[in-house]
Amino acid sequence: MTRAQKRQCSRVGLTILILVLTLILILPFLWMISTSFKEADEVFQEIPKWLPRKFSFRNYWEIWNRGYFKTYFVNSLLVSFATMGISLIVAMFAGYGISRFRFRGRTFFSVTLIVVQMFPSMLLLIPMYLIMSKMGLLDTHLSMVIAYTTFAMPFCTWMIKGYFDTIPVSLEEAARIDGCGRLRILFQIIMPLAAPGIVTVAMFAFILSWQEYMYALTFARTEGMRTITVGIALMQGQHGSVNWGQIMAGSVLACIPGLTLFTYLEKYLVQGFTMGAIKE
Amino acid sequence: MKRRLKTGMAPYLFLLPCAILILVVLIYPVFSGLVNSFYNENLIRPIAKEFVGFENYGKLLKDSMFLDALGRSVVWTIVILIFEMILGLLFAVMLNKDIYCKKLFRCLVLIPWVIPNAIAGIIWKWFLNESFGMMNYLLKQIGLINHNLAWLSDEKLAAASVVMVIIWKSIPFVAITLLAGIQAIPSDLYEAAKVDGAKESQCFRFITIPMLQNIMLITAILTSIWNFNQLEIIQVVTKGGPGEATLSLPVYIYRLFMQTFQTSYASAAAVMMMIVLIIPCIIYVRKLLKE
Repeated sequence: MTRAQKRQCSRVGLTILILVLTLILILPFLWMISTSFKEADEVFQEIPKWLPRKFSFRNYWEIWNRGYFKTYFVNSLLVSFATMGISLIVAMFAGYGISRFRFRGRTFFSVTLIVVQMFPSMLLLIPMYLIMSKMGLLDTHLSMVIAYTTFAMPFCTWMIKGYFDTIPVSLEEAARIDGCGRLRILFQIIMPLAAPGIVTVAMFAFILSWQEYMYALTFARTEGMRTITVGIALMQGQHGSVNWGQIMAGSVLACIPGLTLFTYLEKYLVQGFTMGAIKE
Repeated sequence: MKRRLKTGMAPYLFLLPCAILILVVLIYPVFSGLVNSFYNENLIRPIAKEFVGFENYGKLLKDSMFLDALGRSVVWTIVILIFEMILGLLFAVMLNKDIYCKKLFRCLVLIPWVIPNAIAGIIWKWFLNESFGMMNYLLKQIGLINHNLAWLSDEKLAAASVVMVIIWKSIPFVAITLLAGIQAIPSDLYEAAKVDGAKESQCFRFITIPMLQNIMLITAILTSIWNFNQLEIIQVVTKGGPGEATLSLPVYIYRLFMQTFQTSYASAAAVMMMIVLIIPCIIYVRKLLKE
């Protein structure tokens, strides 16, 4: 065997190995997709099959039109977009502040931003529930937006700061000599340059909010206020027997935003969480 | 650098909205939770709350359910950490090799991470279903078991199942982070080692692992804090049951809070949780700031 052939062989072998490993990893995910396309009688089989008899969209159609499902979807969209908007605006100013200025309390502020992300959620949930209930905000979208801001905003600030750091200061110095104010610099010079980064951060904020379960479960007191994760999770155990076909169809729908955005976000994931702990 | 020093009030104005928000939605609630933990508030008891000092904390230290839940959470976090690191490293190393469709595999490996926790819980509940689930069927097919296992209603298996789901959910993050770490290792190190006649296993042992130490530590702490706090998956899959078999600390606190409405007592337990997390938190912050 020549060297090139040997290399080809090891490449094929390794690909097969990773294929097997990856398939094992995503088995439950494939099982969800498979079940979601099955007819009701086929779902409950002692000997389950990977492929449905025929691909039926009935579960999707039924869950979409069932009870409050559409409302769950809209609730999730509303809350996620609102959280994204608020976090992004606040994070933009703060990110610029930390990135561009050296001032007293800068380290303290940075540490605070990291530490608040480490708070056990239970320590926040209970007092927040009591405060919301006192203010009459339970069972509103606003209560969820406020709660989601607690994790989305510090995260966005850190990430945006990272993007602003990559934009050379010399660009704004030129503008400042021409008499531009800080705000104008931020909006007219920095923001257009950091636009791809800002879009990425926005997507992260959206997905983090979309995925949230605990606050939504606790704050939504009526069915019409549930988000999609809560709605689907509470569907099992409701109305007698569990209709797994429909629940799996709903789960697929709930996974779609994450799945569509993540191929794009994948390369930023590391940067976002470890905040530049890896030097490239 | 020097020009940046003449800043005056400007930076504080930029940080103001963020600082106010942190104060109002993070610091104030946590502080009020801390204060509440010294009272005896109970939402189903209509009497006014009173200051009771450290009574709740004293009660907690004698509460066997709390201590069990704490122990369970600590042990689980360690078990999850070991498995997620080994499997995550395995995927990271594989994804760094010369393979076909690299980008596709990187995306596929990320799938468990992008599924919302609650939905992951639901999917696994169905996958592990005793009579109709795929897990029992597959294990029977390959001959590991000969009768269906009750993954979620048997006490020992339920704990194992929950831990398995959390490991599954953590693998992608570890894998992708470590992969980035591996790719940041300068390739001349490997070339130099090859020239000296090092085998691939030696390269892995003496170059990859030492170079990854830092990022591995950061990933380990970060994911452990997340996993220690994990409520959503357990709440969906078993709600802490059967009995108390999967009652981790967050689930126990959630029960105290949402089922028996002992808000003060639950707050005290949450404060204890924070205390447990303080040391890993400090290490994490110091590591990050050093970079």
